[in-house]
Amino acid sequence: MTIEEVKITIGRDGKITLHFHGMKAEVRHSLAKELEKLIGPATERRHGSGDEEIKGRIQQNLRIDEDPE
Amino acid sequence: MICLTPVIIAAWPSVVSYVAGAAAALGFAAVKSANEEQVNVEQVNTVEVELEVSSVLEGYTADKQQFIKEGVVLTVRTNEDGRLVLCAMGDESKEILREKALTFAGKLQQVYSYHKAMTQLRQAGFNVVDESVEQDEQIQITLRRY
Repeated sequence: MTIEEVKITIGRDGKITLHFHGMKAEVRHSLAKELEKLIGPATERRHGSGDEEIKGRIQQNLRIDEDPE
Repeated sequence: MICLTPVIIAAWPSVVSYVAGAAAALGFAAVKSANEEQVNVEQVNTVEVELEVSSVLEGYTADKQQFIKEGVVLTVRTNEDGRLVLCAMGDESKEILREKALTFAGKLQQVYSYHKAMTQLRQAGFNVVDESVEQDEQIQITLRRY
């Protein structure tokens, strides 16, 4: 079973940070795009090691597509 | 990781609900219009803060909302450009009033971000599995979709 996860941190100033785990890049990009439409343009994008670690585990277990980033 | 800086764009009725949520979270009580005159009598200083990253749809509205906490009255309205304006009044210094207005503006943006993100992700089939408010007032939420 595929588990897709989004972790959200909303600061006291309203700035929102989203971490996407376990989903295909196209799904992640689509979600991010929708949220950008609703909330505002992204000011920062980063592909962190934590994402890589989790992505790797999911790739191994769930055969998710390679992330092009 | 993706970071978004909220731009508040909404119709006035929606803004009213976000403002009420922010006020409640900060412990402000709504002021009824009948008390407005009485509230204004005690004011000494007034500070206005305009939210540049805001746009109230359907143009200018004469409606406004007022809240009070510990002698500070906060008024939320739109200006002629359709931007949100927060006005803090009270016998505190202008510096403190500005800080209170900015704190309110931040909370308003937090409420707005929360509402928009949660609505969108729930529509996409995600469910909340964990939610907490940290000591620094950051909200942390984990959502999953199976």
